[in-house]
Amino acid sequence: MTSVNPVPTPRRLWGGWAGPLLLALFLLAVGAMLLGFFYYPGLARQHGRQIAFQEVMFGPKLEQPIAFSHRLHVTDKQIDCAYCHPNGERSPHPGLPTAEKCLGCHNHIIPQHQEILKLKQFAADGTSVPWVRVYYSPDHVYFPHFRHLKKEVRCQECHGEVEKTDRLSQVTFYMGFCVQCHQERQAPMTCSACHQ
Amino acid sequence: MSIERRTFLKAIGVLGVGSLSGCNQAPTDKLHAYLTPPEDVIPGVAGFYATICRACPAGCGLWVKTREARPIKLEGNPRHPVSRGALCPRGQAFIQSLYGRHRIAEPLMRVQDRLQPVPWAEAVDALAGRLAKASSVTFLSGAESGSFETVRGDFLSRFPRSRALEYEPLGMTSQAAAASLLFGRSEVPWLDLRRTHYVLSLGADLLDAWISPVHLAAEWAERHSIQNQRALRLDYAGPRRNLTATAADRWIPLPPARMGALALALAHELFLRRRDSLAPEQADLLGKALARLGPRPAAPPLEEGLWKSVLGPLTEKPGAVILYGGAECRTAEATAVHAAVLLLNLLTGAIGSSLLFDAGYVYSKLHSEKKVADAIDAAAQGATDVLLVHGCNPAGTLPASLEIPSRLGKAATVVAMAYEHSETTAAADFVLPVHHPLESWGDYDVTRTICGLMQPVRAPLYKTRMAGDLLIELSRKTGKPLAHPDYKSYVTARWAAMAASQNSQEWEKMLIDGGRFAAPAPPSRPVELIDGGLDRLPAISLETASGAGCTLLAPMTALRFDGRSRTQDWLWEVPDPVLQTAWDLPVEIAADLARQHGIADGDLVSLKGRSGAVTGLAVVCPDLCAGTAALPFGGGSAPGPEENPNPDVLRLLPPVFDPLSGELALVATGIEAAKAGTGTLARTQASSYSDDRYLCLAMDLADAQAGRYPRMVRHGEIPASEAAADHGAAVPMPADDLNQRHPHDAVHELPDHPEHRWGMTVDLDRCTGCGACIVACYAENNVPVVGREEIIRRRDLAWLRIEKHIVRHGRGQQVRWLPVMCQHCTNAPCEIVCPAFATQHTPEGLNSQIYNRCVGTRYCANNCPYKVRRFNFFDYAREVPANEQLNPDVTVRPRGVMEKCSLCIQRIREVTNRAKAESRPVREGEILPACVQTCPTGALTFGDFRQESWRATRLAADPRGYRLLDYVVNTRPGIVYLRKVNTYPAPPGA
Repeated sequence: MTSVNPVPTPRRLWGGWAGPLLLALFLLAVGAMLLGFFYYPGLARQHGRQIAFQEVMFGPKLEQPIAFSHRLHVTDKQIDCAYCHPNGERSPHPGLPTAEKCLGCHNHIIPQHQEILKLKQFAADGTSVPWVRVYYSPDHVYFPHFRHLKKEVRCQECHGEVEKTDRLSQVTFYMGFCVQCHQERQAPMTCSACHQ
Repeated sequence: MSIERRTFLKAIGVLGVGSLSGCNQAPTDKLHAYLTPPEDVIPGVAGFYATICRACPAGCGLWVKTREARPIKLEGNPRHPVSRGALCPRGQAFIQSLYGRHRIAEPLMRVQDRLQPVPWAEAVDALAGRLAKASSVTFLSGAESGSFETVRGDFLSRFPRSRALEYEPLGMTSQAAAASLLFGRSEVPWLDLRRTHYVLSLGADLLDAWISPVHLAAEWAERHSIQNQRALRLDYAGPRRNLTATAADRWIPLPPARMGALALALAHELFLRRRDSLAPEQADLLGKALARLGPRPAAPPLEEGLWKSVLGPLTEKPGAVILYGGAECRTAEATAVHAAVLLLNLLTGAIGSSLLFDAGYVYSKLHSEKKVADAIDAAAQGATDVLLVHGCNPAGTLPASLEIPSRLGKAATVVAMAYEHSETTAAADFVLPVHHPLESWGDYDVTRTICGLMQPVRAPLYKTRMAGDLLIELSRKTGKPLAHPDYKSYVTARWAAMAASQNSQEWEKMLIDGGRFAAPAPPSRPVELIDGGLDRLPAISLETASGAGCTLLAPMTALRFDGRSRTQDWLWEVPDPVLQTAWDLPVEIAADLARQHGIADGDLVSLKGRSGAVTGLAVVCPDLCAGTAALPFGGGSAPGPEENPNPDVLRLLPPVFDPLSGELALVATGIEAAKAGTGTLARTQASSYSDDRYLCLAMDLADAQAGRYPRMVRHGEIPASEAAADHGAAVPMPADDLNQRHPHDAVHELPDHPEHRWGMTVDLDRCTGCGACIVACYAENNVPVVGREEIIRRRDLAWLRIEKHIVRHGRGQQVRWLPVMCQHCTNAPCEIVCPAFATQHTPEGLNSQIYNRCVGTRYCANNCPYKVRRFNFFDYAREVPANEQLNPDVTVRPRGVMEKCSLCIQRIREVTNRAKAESRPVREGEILPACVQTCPTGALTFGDFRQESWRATRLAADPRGYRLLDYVVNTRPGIVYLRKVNTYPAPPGA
């Protein structure tokens, strides 16, 4: 460099290895996004419960206040989903069982089990059980359960094979997952069918 | 390999953003289930409970929409005969006072001259101690009826000297006083406009905030409508062009001081014509009464043509109604004018058909301002031991010159029972927080036969008690227990006595209906003049006193009323329709005054009276009577908008009372106005003139009746005049649209609407511009309040606005209202410019805005010819507990996205979902967007334009129909406007 300018000119921004390295990282990221967006939803549905990519990779098994097992209640005891989640056919939300409903059975069945004692303590204190939310869809999505049940969508189609699981992991629903099913079943595809 | 510092920073930046975006984990929310399921709550499904609106004495019925036991929206109770399913803007905003930041959370007691929080037990014990020693107790409240009257009576009966006063700033005590002098009945008649053909209102602003605005607006609209062939006509004589003046068939500008002369002249005229048809004894008494009021004027007080056209409908058919008594024309001779007006009504035959005495109207038993001021004076002088104040705010509604706060400070014991802080609670010794009316049991009888029942719609938010329970507890503590152990028992006992049968189903039915209702019966004995009080009738002053200075009016507007709703932000954010100002409470200055003092819009103006001075922003009103300024009620600083305390008219009003009734005069004279600087008005509409565009159209009644409707103008053709500014009322359905192709259509594929085409019609002939629809929209759609500064920057977020249009009408000008919401165009300009496909035309005809797709380019707002799209410049957080009011079915929009009217997509979706789940078609009237639901006059109609039998479709095909700006921009909106119909042709002249 034989410049008369005493101020050193900066080197090329993407000189050396940094340029190719960043480019490779970028392409990798784009590739992963494309894969996740187009390929993953279908893959996830085949695998039932395993829905969210994040959940598969990093999803924690949620620590619930009471160690409730869906496998035990649904598969072993053959209790229908709608027995404990009773509002699915009349409300957007299927609802959670009230403590009164749980104790309706458990006052007679294993009433002294340590997890049942926890439930009884909540009921005695008059506080609701702080269940940790498992299935999450963003606030701008309106998902009426009763419409889907009316169309005979099975619970497992979205929630995965809950009946085979003891401890549920957190699951986030993404739009591709919804749209794929809506396309297959020729359900409404307008934006305002779900967003309001 | 070496990495430059800058390159390293960039790489870290990219990787950092990438890794952070991967951390978008779902929040770990908690889900709570009930321990025991409540009987009637299904989580996710709204429940409706009937109760009564207590935002003014009118007593409208409410349906409170609750979700998961939280009230989120108020709607009118369709079974209640006063509200009939509608609400006014203040009724819609009433829910904000439940969650408001001015609620009193715990009892306060004055210790060492400061109000300090104390536990309930301590406050009650201390007060009970004082009550035990008290012999003289005064109970001051707002209008109350039903069970509260009983429990108050029981409570007071234990004290040797006690009295109960009921006070409302818009009481009609002068009317009661006049009726007492003339007929020996000290009462306010119930008003029923369904049997009259003509209403002449002398300053009674029945479509703004006068005694029962929803009920009167509904009756007016029904009979006045073009569908009903203008069965009712309304002329309004008043000093201000308020909502009533703009909706009336004619507005006769008349200063308040001349109303008495007009009423007297009309009464004399009618008496001359009717004298022979009256019973001789009654005719003599009438003559005597009129002679007391004043002589017959030599010349009529109106110009010849107008005089005749007013006299015409008064005389040609019996039953014409003359009203008087709005705030903006209440002078110190109100009783005399009321007497003249009652005589007029007697002469037209309206008394007994439209003005029903003996109904037990709740206004009848109110006490005047003078009585209230005297009672407070007595307390200040030590004649009253304990003064209890409940449901009214004397310190904040009586003139500052009466010095109510300092007199309350001198009184031995002042107890304020209130749910919100006010001037009165600040001056009290005990502040006992009571339940909000939406948290309370109770009842409210508008008349003897219209009895409303109140039930709590949520658990109390704060450590409050029901006012009735408080009286019962205080009695128990003083060793004199009352008849029932709690207030609810008082209510149930009273309603059990009223019920037809004593089974529990009857009680449940009354709870569901919101009360028991029957039409007021005609009086048992005829209303006749009696000779008892005629000698005490005062003379009406016929000379207009001309002194120095201007006249000041103190109106009560639809949004402000008497100022009690000033804690509700929606009512400040929604612009006043007449002035189009939000958050500001400007001083209205007549054009001649403005010229004289060099005042322009937005200047600071100071008003000085004998009893005080205020400074406020000025709006020059060419429509205000000459030499007049007006400052509506509702200003003052505490509590209210903190950022911008508004001028308080109470600082200017002198303590002048009507000598007969003791009613406070709300018209002050001798006010000096002067320019005091410049300021900035927060206005939402820059101009009311539409220049050469045809936006807010009207036609003449004669043309409508003769079927002479305006010629159709095709797309792109510029109409020659207002009469032609229309392209017909083609229902915007695909078939019609394809028949009328515009050259530009070649580039657009018009969408098909296979199942539904949702749309709305707006009947400009019914719209009074009250703004209830706007407040309802705020409540329903989680529209944030942006505040005054943002409104000055034109960043308000209202989805629906009411534009004020001033249109030349012959010699004069006409003011028209144009509600503008998203027009849901079939050919929408906003859709084609959105790079993110965030706004789309749905197959059901809606222009949908998808917030999660929106990236905030604002191209759509720039391309929207109607300017209905609003951009969120900020995240507007809701305070706790105001967030409980949010509608869970509507997305709360974050910063950076566009939003606009969705025609209440959540309501459409809810009903269509329900219909599909029940395998049936959607029924007419099932879907009501919030604005349509609340409109008192039925100006808005929602429907499916694919259903030909639906009312909306039939209205859209009305030849009055036109679509906004469609002739220029070819947008083919789904909103069809129906022209206003001018009853009288434009007065000739340029």
